[in-house]
Amino acid sequence: MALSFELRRRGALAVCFALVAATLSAAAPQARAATPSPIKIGAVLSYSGLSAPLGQPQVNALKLAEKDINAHGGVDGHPVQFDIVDDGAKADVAAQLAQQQLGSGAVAVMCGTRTDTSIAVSRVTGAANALQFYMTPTAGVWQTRGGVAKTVFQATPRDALEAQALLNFAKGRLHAKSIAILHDQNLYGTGGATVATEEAKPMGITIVANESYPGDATDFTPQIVKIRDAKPDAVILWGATQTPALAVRAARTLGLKVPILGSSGVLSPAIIKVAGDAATDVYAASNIGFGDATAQQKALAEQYEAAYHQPLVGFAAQAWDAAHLIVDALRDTHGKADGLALAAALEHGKPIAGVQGTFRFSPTDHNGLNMADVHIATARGNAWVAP
Amino acid sequence: MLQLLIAGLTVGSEYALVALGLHIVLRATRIVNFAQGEFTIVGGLFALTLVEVLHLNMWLALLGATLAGFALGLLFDLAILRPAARTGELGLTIATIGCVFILLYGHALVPGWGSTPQPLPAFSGSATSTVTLAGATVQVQSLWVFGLLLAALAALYVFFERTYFGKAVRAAADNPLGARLIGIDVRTTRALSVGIAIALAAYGGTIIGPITLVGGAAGFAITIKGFVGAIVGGLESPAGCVAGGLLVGVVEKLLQSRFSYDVADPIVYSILLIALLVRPQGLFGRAAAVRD
Repeated sequence: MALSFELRRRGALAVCFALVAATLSAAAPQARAATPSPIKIGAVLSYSGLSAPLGQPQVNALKLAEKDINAHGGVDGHPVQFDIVDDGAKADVAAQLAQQQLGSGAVAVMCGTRTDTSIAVSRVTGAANALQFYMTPTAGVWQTRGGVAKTVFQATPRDALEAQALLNFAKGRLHAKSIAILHDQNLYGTGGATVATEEAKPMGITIVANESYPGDATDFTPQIVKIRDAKPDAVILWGATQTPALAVRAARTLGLKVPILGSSGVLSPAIIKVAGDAATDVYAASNIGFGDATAQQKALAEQYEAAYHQPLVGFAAQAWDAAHLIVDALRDTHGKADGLALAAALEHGKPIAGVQGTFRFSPTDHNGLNMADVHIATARGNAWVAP
Repeated sequence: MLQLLIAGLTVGSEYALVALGLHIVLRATRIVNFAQGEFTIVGGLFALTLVEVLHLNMWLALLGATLAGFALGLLFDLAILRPAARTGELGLTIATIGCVFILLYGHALVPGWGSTPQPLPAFSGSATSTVTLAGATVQVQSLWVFGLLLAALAALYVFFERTYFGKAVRAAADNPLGARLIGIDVRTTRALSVGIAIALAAYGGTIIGPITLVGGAAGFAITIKGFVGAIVGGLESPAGCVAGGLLVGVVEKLLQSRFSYDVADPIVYSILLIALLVRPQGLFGRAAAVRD
């Protein structure tokens, strides 16, 4: 028995050696042949689980961005390679994956699709002095209580800009004087509700109700009844994926007929599919234009539709911009992986034209966009269109 | 108030069916099937496939999903419960917890199901059709949920109280040895019980589907809410399970109208503990029914 165990152990060791040797011999000629070596960038996205409708377009766009970047010379002639992994919409998984990617030579990390995954990873990138770009509107990931997170940047209009645009639209176009807020209980939703409350005050808009729901809610009766009783002129709905669609349906079913203005997370094809004919008088903030799309947005839309046979969505534009912004910084530092050096290049560099707008980063602004970069769309027929 | 009551009874109907399913499996196997709520999710997805792929109407989809649930229940008994029974009641319970994760992550891998919840069409009219009852707006779909819950209860009553087969199932559950002595095939009746319980789960997942969505990760929460209902009403009493499930739905909605969700949920779960401590046989159970 002892002998057979020893033999097996030796056998296992031999197999290990053989594998290592095989890997080395296979890798060596490749490394020699493929000069210059690729620059690896980690991408931890949520393309399964609840956030799949957001993460999947980001993966699509990232693959297009990789081709585009490498067609334009990569970084100093080195091809760029995005290592895309799925965190399943789980913050702890995202942090582990980011740690692994940085450990295996990634020079920067794109993460993530969700606010909670982005925050979890920001602790990893902060500790490792690595550049991170994330793609949710929550500014709180870089605008922390302890000041600006030095190496964390945001590649989509921040929530305060969305709130300003929605409130402006509510006041100017819909003549609303009072607003009720209905939001997801997660970090994204509560952050948005807080920002909207702050932005409403100087605009002279009163918040008459503030209700929340858990991300997997299916019934909204208590919240809608309370909002209906508060008699607001409009409702701001801050949430993402399908759940807001059920909220819209519940509102219309329970006789809450006022306009509903959603955050950009509400803007997905899913809401029209789920809410159906209830999606009337529903608006949403968007990082890409509907009817007022910029030339860059039209160009990306064309490319995206040709590759994937589906219309461009805002989530894809976020990933496209994040990828190009990281590469822009890497070109400035000639591929140096130092997070602080990359951050400095972004903060003091020239304005960078992206698909969503022109990014003007500074040491106090790691978002760099402004309210003009937020568009408003409305659900009509079976699509999102210009209001 | 009436509005909240109706909303509570609608979600409560789903809890009631889960509680009833828990009761049936408990009677047959002496264990709590923690995967009951996951079977509700899978049942709703069966209906989705029947509607989307075979273009059936909701009534046929409901029938199909229920039958598929029954078949899945037989398979569940044959492949999981029967082999795991050898390890005792604890092993069997843990096997059902294993099934929670298999079904939770497994259903997302099925083409056309995925991990994101999807809508089911309405039984009649559209998902937003309403009627006004005593000043409250009621979704027509909620009325279907109540009606279909009653229909299921009536069918179960007739089966268990009036048919020879149903009586045999009950006899085998109450006293397996005695049932075997008078010639009842206990293994068959047990499989039948589990089949009925899972069919009920699929039925529940489908009737609530037009109001909520089908799919997603809410299965375990549904199991626990149904379990709270069953404990409050009395796990040993079918009527108690139904009443308890409905009650949990109503209490949940009333709490949510006063407090935020993160406060309401812990209170609902606290009711479970208090009910277990104060009245372990449930509101409707007989004290003698409690084993120690």
